[in-house]
Amino acid sequence: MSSAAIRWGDDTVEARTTTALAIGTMKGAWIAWSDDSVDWQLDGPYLKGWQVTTFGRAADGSHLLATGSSWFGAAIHRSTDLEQWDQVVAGPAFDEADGRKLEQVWTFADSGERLLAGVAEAALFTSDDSGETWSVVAGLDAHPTRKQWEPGLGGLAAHRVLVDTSNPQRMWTGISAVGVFATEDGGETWELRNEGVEVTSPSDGGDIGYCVHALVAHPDDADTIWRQDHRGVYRTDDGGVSWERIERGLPGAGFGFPIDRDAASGALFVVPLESDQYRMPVDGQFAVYRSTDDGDSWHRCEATADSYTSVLRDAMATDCRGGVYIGTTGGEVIHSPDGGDGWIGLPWRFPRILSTHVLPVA
Amino acid sequence: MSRVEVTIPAMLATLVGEERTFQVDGETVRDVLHELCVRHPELRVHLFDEIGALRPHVSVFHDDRTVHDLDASVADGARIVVLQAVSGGVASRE
Repeated sequence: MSSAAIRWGDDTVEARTTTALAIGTMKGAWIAWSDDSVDWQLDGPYLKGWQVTTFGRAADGSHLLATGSSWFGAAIHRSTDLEQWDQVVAGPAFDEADGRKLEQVWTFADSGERLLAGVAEAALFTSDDSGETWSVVAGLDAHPTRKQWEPGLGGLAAHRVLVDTSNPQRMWTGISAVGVFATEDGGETWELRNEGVEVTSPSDGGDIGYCVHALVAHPDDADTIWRQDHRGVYRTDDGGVSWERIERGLPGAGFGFPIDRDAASGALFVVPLESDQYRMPVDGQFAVYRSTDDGDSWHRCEATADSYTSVLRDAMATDCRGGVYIGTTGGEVIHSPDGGDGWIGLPWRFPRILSTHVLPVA
Repeated sequence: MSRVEVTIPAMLATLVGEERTFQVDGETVRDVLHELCVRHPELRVHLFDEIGALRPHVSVFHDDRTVHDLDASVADGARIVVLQAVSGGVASRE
């Protein structure tokens, strides 16, 4: 790989490397750079001491990261140079009369028309000015089941947003422990789409209680979505109208948190855990499983004996060139440069890793 | 109107150019903190919650005494210190 320029809006600066891997931890963010996936250089920490819960990018080219703190709450920060991060003053916030509190920003998504943020307590916020100001997506709040939503262990969180790039009016969001919702009208109305998924916490308040953990969509077919759920791994080919279980070859009960797809090879990756009770690697072996047939079957492609670490739902990333990056709760980053055939560890130990994202390089 | 010295924790100082100590005018502790947030609006969301209450794990000291009433008067030359409470942690981020 050759070095390249990174473009932020109208500014182009010479990048040191091709790959920029953002690592969000319990105690700040770091960015690891490499031009050959072998030698890495590390910058950071940024937002030292803050939980860095996710990363994103706005339409104007600025980079985003979200911070949290047990003391000081959640906020969004923007950067045009990946060095100076400025807090957004008018970030996502619930009205005083609403009763909800902004506990954490879990995810960003850029629809091409607007920027979205999924947060806990579960809601979506949208920004039409690349993250300077935000307003709540009222249509999701108006869902008739809203008052019956209950949290999972990680909170009541809208932690993933998928957008149909061919029609940004179509979106999906995963909310734990409620389920997957879809909109066909840009967020005005939402419907539950969980048919075929085993419910986690049955509710008297409607067909909710599905503890979706992570979602990833096919880049060329938004109706094909893979889902790591509390109850297992699923796929839909009709935009979530129906789901089928896809666990052939996986150990344990299909429990896990992240799921991601390498656009270069089409391979899918999950990290199975023993069960929802233990949440530890099966048989004490941290293992990554790969599917090269859209989830029909899975095979172990990386394993570390006597390793009891885990991976959180936002801590697996791909770079669309075959690179797969996994940040563990033990603070390690393991990396495959070739779609999962071989794996190496980055030469640093971080605090508990909450998120890993490959930053766009143009 | 009194002028008081306000000190904020290092984690919050990173948001406002590393400055930790400010001279701020006000008649009460609440006035002083709100004036600080006018000067540095990034701080408001970190000190106060959605209903305007001081965050539960933020501690405020007024001349070395814990503040129980934000509407307590402050004297000229008083010192207000904002600290992270001896608490925190997180149950789960899965």
